[in-house]
Amino acid sequence: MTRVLLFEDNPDLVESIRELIGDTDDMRVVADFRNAQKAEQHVRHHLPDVVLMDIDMPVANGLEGLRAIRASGSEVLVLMFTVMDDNENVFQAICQGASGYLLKQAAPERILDAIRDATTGGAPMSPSIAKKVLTLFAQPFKKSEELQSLTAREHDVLSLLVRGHSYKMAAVQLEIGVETLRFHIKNIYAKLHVNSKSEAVIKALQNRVV
Amino acid sequence: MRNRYWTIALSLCIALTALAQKDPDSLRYAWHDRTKPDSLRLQALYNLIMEHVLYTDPDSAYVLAEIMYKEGVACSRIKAQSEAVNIQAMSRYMSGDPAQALELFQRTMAIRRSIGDSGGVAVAYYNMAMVHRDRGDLSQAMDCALNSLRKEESVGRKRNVAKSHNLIGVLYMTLEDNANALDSYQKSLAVCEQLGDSGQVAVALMNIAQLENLCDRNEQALVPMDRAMAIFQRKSNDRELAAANRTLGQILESLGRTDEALAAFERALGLQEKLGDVRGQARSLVNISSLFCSKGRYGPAKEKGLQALAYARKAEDMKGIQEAANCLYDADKALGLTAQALEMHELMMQMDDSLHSEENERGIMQAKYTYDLDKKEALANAEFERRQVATLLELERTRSQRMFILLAVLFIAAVSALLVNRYRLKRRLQVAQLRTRLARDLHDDIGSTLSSISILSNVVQRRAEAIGDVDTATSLEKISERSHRLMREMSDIVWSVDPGKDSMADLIGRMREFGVGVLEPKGIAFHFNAPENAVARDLSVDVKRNLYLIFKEAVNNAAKHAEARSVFAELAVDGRSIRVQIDDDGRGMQSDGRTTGPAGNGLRNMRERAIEIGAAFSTGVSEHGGASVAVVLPLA
Repeated sequence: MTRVLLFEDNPDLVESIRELIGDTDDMRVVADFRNAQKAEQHVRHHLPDVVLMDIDMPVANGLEGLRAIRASGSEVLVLMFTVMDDNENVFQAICQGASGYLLKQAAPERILDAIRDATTGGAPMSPSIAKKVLTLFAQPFKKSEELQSLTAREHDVLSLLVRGHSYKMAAVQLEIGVETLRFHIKNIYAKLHVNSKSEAVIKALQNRVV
Repeated sequence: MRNRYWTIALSLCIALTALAQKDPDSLRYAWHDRTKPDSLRLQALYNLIMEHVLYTDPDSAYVLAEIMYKEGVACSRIKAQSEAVNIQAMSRYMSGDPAQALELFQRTMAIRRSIGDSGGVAVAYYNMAMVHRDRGDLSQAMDCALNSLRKEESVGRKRNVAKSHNLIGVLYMTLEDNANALDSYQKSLAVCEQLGDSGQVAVALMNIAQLENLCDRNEQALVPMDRAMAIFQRKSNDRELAAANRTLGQILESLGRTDEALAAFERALGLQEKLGDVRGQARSLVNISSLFCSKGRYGPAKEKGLQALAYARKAEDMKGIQEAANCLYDADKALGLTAQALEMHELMMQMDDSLHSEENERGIMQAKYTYDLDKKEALANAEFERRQVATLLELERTRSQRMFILLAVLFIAAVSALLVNRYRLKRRLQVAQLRTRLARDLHDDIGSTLSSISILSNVVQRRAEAIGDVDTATSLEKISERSHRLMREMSDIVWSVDPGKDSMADLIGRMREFGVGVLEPKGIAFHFNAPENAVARDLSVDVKRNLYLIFKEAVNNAAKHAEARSVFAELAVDGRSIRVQIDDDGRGMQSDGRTTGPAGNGLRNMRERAIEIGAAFSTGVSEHGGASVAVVLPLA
């Protein structure tokens, strides 16, 4: 049984997510909160498998919640729940350790799939996010820092995603399977997490280069 | 004295007001801004076409003028309609279709007559005279020129009266009726003197001098020539002064005063050297060389002739090359250098051939050059007229001191117009950014609730399916799908007003995403051909939004109605236009061309959206057998 913790300020949405997840056999919403205050405490208390975190919330927003959770050492899966995926905050969140993101405008089945995907290690990537990743990795890193840069394959994948190709089309173009593509994307996420701690990346984010 | 202050004030005003609203984007913006009064919008569109489109891309100007005409009809502004047709006439003329141009000028005239715009009718006559002249219909040209003159006299626009007399003079000269030509030039001169416009006076004097020279009345030619030279000297207009000196030299040469002629040619040469006018220098050297030949000094003649040839070649001036070759031929023959003389003769023949084939090209080129000059003149004219009428009345009663104050005030007014404009643009940007923020906030709120509607109805739908209630399930699916669609449309709106997302690359990316998202789930192949490294071009909100919406509509049609297996989309940009085309291999559109029903409505919507941004919209059969839809947006 997958335990889901929900942070969302729109009460209509909270209610419908509860209904949606409640109807499934493999997932359950253990608690919901209107903002991300004391997020790390809630995580420690309820021990969820997945956290659905809205970005725009009053008092304490999704980014702050994410930071708090990661700072407390928890490795729980956090999916950012957002209306538009080209929100700068989404990219920041990914760099700060979000495991993925989910669009509110996605069809209900997609929402359930995304949660299941995340638990098995999948991660989404849209054109605007892909573009930001490419820009970020194009920054000059100092030689002293041990950073993982993108492999050629990962670069190819991102280039195709930037231009709007779907996973299927990109996989066909690169002559690989869709699973392999997903694997590459997962690695890209991992590198983002690792590199995000570097000075260069923090600066790039602060200066809104990305 | 008064005139000097006048010209300073005017040229400053023209320059500054020209600066204040010169760039095509602010003109476009003003045209599309429906909160502005119609007259302002139409003026902006007119300026846009005249200043930025007509002379570089006459065909696009034609299309834009069509739009201006329609808007003029919609707002019942007849003058705007006549201006629009006028632009179309000019564009046809520049595209090398004088017959069409004449017809359109006739139309312009008819419209102007109907509102009693005699001045406008006069201008239309003048333009038609020019077209007739270029086609060689001299009698028609003369008729139109005379009509133009009569109209201008009735309206009392002296400057244009002088121009008409001048044109009539040129026509008489072409008809070799020198007596009447002289008469017309002198009338033109008289009017110019009344106006006190020394520049025009000098032009008229030069015409008279050249005519007298042509008729071999060279003593009479000298008087106007000297006067013209004095004016050019005073105005330090080197270019005109050089041309005048050349003409003076030719007159003196005809009178046998060869030393003075030589001096004049050398003065011309010196000025042209200063101006860097290679072509002019070639021609002056030809004059000098020819002069030496006639005096029997063949050595120096050859030297100058070779120089002339070199310059003429550098300027790619074929007539100049021919004339230089001619001088060298004479010199070489006299010096007994027969082989070289023959070479020169060959060269002359060669140039003759090239010049003849060039004659056709030159007709249109000349027209273009004339129009370039006329255009600058026309813009300056318009400003001149307006200000002259207004301020002439006032200043008639004041003294030079007040004129200084007026100059200062106009200067300040122009500068503040510039600053106000800049401030306005800044405000516009601020408003745009605020709008985007509001849109996002709204989108978040509404989007979340819409999402919840979609989710809830989906949940109930599945429960209904589980108990076999198919009808309920179907209705619920519709609710879910519709709220889902609303969310996507909201997302589109926020995207379209986002000023950070106005590049071509953004548009292409979103188009591809949409195409893939709609067609892939239905198993339809989607091929999108768009430039890899998109031209770095920013699109306005209207253009971005409308192109995207047309694209969406076309793709949706292909997905829903066309029963297609593949969709081929293309976006192409060249220097002149953006083209978006969507083809499919389905069953094609109904041939009865209906404009009702779902498919018909869609077509009408697309057409309207295209018209809104000034683009051309067309439908047809694609090479794959299905429907084809294309939008072409001319770039200013």
